[in-house]
Amino acid sequence: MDAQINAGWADRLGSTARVTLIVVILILGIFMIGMVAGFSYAVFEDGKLPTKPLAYIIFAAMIGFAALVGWVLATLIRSLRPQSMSGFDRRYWRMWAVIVGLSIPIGIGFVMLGVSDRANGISLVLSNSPIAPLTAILGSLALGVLLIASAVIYHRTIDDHEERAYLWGSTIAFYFLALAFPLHWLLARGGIVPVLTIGVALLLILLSCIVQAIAWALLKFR
Amino acid sequence: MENRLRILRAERGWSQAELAGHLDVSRQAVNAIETGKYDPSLPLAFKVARLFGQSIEQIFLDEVK
Repeated sequence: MDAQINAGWADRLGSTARVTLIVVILILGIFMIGMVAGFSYAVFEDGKLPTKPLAYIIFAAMIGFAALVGWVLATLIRSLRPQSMSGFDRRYWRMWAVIVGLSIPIGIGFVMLGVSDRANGISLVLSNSPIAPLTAILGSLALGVLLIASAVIYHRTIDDHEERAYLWGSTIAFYFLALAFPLHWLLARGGIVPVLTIGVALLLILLSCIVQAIAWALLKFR
Repeated sequence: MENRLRILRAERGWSQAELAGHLDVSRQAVNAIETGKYDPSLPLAFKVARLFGQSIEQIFLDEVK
């Protein structure tokens, strides 16, 4: 009932118009992230916080606008889903909305903090170059909050079947790591692959996450 | 593990999604149980048994027997 009231304006649009609008908003969202990154590059100087109050007002306005766009997007997506959604499905999709809602501002924050270090935005995650202490502390806090909050919300929401898929996926990912690290170490000692650096280690961890996701998806949707 | 879930569901004219709604699980969970790809936990098996008014042994078949 609540969803029907909230999605009222979206229901007046045709389904094609709604899908088109969702795609347009997503494309514009990519450009908006670029604009935010550019603005951050101009405002933050060498990792220091800006002194002019206008910068904070513009940031607050951008966050408010992003929240509004997010609400419009969520309403459009909600209006497209079947009305006969069960209580579990509602909780499940709300859980993903919360996790994505937490991830987007933290992801934008990472880009902004990376830019503030006078480097390419994504370099914060893909490079090993030194960063400002403030960037390091904020990045660590954001990552910690995101991972812990997401894990708690996820495991409290999913059903028994998905929990098992997740646990088996994690086990397979662990075996992948347990094999990949010693293999790389041995091959590096033989001069076949480069010496293990933190970059390679992070790449292996990223690969293990992909392995986990594939195993989880296969077990959940087979 | 073999089970009679699909038969019991069909007797009531429920779709997998409707049964999932009654059990408060995903539709994929119901499908995985019905096709024998996933054995439910004991709490979920009890929930299934309560829903259909039968014992666990009447719904989930012991393959050793």
